Order: sequence, then C-alpha cells, then structure tokens
Amino acid sequence: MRRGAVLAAAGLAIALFSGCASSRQGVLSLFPDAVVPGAGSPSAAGRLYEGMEATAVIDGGIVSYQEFGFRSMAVRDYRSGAAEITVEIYEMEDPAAAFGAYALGRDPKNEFLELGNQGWVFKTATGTHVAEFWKGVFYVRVEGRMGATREGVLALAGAIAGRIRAAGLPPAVLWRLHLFDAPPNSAQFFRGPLAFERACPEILAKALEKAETFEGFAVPYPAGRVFAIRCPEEGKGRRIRKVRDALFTEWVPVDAGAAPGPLQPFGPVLVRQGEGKETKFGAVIVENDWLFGVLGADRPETLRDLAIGLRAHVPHASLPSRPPEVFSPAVGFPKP
Amino acid sequence: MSDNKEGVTRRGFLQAAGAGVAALGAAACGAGSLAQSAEAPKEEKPAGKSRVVLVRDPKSVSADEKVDAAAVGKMLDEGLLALFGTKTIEEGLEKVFTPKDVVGIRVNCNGQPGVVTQPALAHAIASRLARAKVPENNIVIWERREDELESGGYKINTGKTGVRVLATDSDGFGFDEKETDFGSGKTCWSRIQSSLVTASVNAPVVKTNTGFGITNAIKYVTGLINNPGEFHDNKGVPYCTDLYKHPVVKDKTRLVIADALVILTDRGPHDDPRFHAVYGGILLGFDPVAVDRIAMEILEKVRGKPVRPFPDHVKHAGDNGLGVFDRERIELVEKVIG
Repeated sequence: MRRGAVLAAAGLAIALFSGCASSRQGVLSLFPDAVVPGAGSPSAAGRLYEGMEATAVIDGGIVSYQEFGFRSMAVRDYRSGAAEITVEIYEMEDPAAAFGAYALGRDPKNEFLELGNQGWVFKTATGTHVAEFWKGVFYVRVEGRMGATREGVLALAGAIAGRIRAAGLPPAVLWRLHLFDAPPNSAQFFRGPLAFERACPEILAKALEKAETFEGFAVPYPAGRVFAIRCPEEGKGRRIRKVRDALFTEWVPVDAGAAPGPLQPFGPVLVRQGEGKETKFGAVIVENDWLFGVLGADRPETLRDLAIGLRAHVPHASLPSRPPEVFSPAVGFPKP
Repeated sequence: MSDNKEGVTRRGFLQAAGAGVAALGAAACGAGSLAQSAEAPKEEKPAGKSRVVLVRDPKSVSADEKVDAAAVGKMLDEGLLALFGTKTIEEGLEKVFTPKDVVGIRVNCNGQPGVVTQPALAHAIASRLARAKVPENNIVIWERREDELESGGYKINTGKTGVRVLATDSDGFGFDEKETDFGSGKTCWSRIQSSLVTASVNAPVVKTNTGFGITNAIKYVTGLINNPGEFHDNKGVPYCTDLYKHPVVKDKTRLVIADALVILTDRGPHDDPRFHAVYGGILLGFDPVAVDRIAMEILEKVRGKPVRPFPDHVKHAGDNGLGVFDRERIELVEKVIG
C-alpha cells in the first residue's frame, strides 16, 4: 500500500515536472483560436511539419534541433490590422531538448522575462519584436512585424505558455552549473557535436560523433571557456577518456620551458597545433564519467587563472541525487 | 563571338563548367587574365587563383535595413566589370549567357522576411541580363515557394511580359515525376531547374546555419529538390557536392552573385533579427566554393569568432572538384564605393 502510494506520488511528480509522454500535448492545440487582445486573431490554420519536413520552414537549422531531440514544429500567423505575428512552436523529445533548442539562441544581453520556464524579448533596429521561451517539451518563438507591438507579441507568447500544461525541468547536467559561478544565462548546453562545436569553437567536434550518448555545457568567460561533458554508462569512464583523447588529437603539451607547469588537478597545459590555426591553450581532467576542461585562452597564464577558478570546485563536484526542490526560472538554477 | 585563349568566352566557359574544377578555376582565372589582354586595362593578376569580387557601399543599406536600389545597381556593375575584366557589363555577360537562354536567378528567401536575397539585387541582375540581350520574359527569379518570395518583398509575375518571378509551387511547375540518382541519393528536381531554365545565376544570401556553419552558394542545391530533409545529416556531406556536380546544376550555373547587404551572423538559416548585420556588400564569382570561403571570412570578421559548426559541406565541395577552398588560392578583389 505504502509502496503503491510512493509510486503514485512519483508518477505524479514525473508528470508534473518532466512533461512525459503520457502528458504530451498536440502541438497544434497550443495555438489560441480566439482573438488574443493586442495580438489579433489567427489569419490561417496552423501548419504542422513533422521530423525533417521542417526543412521546408527552417532549412538546415532543423539539424541543430534534431541533435537535441526534435519531433515536430507548427507555425501559425496572427493578424491585427496590418500588424502580423508569426508563432513557431517546436515540439521536442523531452524538456531538456526543449531547453537545448531554446538555449541555442539565448543571449545574456536579452531582456529576460517570466515567460514559460524562461523567456526573453528583443526589439530589433527595424522595429521587429521577437520573444522566445521554453516550457515542458516545447520551445516557442514569436515574431511580430509590420507594426506589431511588444505587448501584442508578449500577450500571444503568454497565451501559448499558459496552454502548456507540464513545466519540465532543465537538463540534469546543468545542476552542476553553480560550480562555475557562471554569468547568468550564459551557459550553452549541448547534446551532440554541432552544439558542442558551436560552444567550443577551438575544437572541431567530429570526435564526438563517435560518442553515442553525451551531454554537457560550456560557459564563456572573457579569457576563454570552461566546459563539462558527461558520457555516462559502461566502462567506468573508459568512454569519456576516449572522447578526451579524440577531442584533443590536435593538441600537445606545451614545452616545459614555456608552460607554468601542470595545473593540478588538471593535466599538462595543452596547446593547439595546426598550420594557420590561432594559438590556444587548454587543460582537461576526467572525473568519473565527466570530462572537465578549460580552453580557449590566448596565454598559459590566462588559462591558469581560469583553471584555478574551476579547480576550487571540481573536487566537490558531485551531481545532486535529486532535483532541486524549488525551481525558480527567473532567478536561474538554484544552488543546492 | 570568337574564342579568346586568355579571356572567358561563352564556349570556353561552358566547356570549363563541364570539365571540372581545373577548367572552372581556369575560367575564373581567365576572367582575371582577360584584364591583361589588349582590350582591357592591364593589372597584375596572381596566377592560378580563383577570383572572387567583393563590392561594398556603406550607403547601399541604411541602419534600419532599407536597401538603396540605385546603389545596389552600381555595386553590381562594378562587380561584374571586375569579375569579367571586360570594358562593359554586356560584353562580360554575353560570354556566359545567350539571347536563347532562359536564365534562372535562384534567390534565397528562406530567411524571410529579414535576410533574403534582396529584390533590388535580383532585379538589378535581371536588368543587366536584359541589357545583354536575354529577353526579359526569359529571365526567371525563383525560389521554392511563392509565399517565401512574397514575404521577402518580391511580387509574383507568372505572365508573358516582364521578368518572371515564380516558385516551384507556382501553377504548372512542381517537381520532376521521375527520380534522379545523383550518386549519394535520389531526388526529384524542381522543374524550374531541370526543364525551364537553361542557365542559372546562383544568388544566395550570406548567412550562418546552425546545422551547416554557413548557407550560401553550395548549400543552394538543397533548395532545388523535393526531399532536402533526406540530405541534411552529416552536415550535408557528400550530398551537397554530389547534387551540385549533377549536370542539372553544374552545367547550368554560370555565375554566383551573393547578397551580403544584410547578413545573418548567428542562429541561421532561419531569420533571427537579433543577428542581422548591415554589411552593404555583394560577392561575385564563378567558383561557388571560393565565394563560400570568402563569405565565411566575412561572417567571421563581423562575428569576431569562427563560424561554427565548421562548414564541412563547403570544404568537401572544394576537395571534390567544385572549386577552391584554400584561401591562399583565392584572389579577393575588393571594391569600395561611396
């Protein structure tokens, strides 16, 4: 009886927080059919594109969403007088994938809002207002043109967010983000080589294509970046070591005379080799099934500064065994 | 028209287009060599390089992204003269297009409404072709869908007068019924590409692509087919190369004129107005790989960081006979107006 109650509670919690398959909503059902004050009413029916059909709308951009886990996208236009607002809703495999698609275009300079789990709005030089947010398994983009107002764009975005039932949680790997003292909204989440290469352009991520399952994040700093990759399952870290070796095939230890010595607990300072390539320094450490790294620094000394900041945290970097009790998207990711 | 060993002639160009990169490179270099002939001003040209011309005019686009059509026309004229190395634009264009051609100007409006091949540029190309004796109604500005063209600022014209503006989904077109095996896959071409046009201007817009690194001249091939979704894995390798090498594309595509007036520096190829940059440029070349390589360089300069993911589809095209990727072997001619 007690076990049954626990299971029921666990099931309820999963349904509430993870946006699981049983609670999956039809993407077209998220579009309001009625007039949304300030935004107008639909000018046509919503259009659904499943899987790679979405290339008809976003062309090669679909590949980067697919890497996170993409199911379908739906598009619908709204009109109020001359003003037009286009809504794109991307249905992803799980909330982490929705966060990933959203975070691809997140910029710390955006104006962040309590919209869905997190969102932002931006006004361009041409007077276009764009808002984006993620919630549950959905990443949503709302763009207003032809005089569409910020209020109209946000009203429509808010109406859609309100129709999404399950909130979902951000990717579990990001629960370690607090260790990096990262600037707010700066972390770049990845689940595959394309997004990794985008986050860490010093490394061409072909090597990661061989890693069947991995995810991680990178945080940019003025002097370079730190990153963490988790490659779970099997072999007690063997695979993560293979990933490390593959990623750094173009990198070699710096000559003893030019380096400030090994960066404990990291290995030696590495420098990127290659004709015509800008000199960059890096260092990495494997901890269980995690790979932590600092890279992108122009000089060994700046790498050392980055590494010292990370070093203080790595020995204590154990993944929380349960989700944070309170998730406050406006504040960011909570510290345990 | 007589063949000129040093210059780009239509016959020579067509032979080059059919014979692979060496000849294509020679044709591109030939445009440079032509400038050394008796009929053109003499100037030093690096030997064996693929020529790309970049023309910029800071007044061509305002800060709020309004395009000045007259300025764009002047830029195009400067660019064509520098590319062909001829005294007149008509003389250059007549080397690669004939009055019997139906010339497609394949624009890219996927990034509508904000990042598209600007109508001002497409129509400027059309007017220069008309001056080079291609009948106006034989000039076809086209895209995948009419709605993309309209959102990009084009007015559809499927009539029997004037420059035609239409799409694969316009009445009477669509895709070939019979599949073509292009080596690494099978596809049905847009009938506009396979049946209507006899020659093409590849007129993309310079932008990033979160899946491919960049979208520009090589990537345009996925806009010519009915099943692009099947060829987007592995960053388009080898599909883009194989599609471009097919005679339906390669034998017809005579010129690349890329729009760098308003470029998209991140998050593309879909429009994201946060990452628009007013660059005020156009790129011209015969070699799509070399044009893409310079487009990469422009994006990296404006972004202040490398284009990522690395555009493997462009390098692969260069490694497999479609043009020159090695920057050392590209001659960039820069012209600044205004």
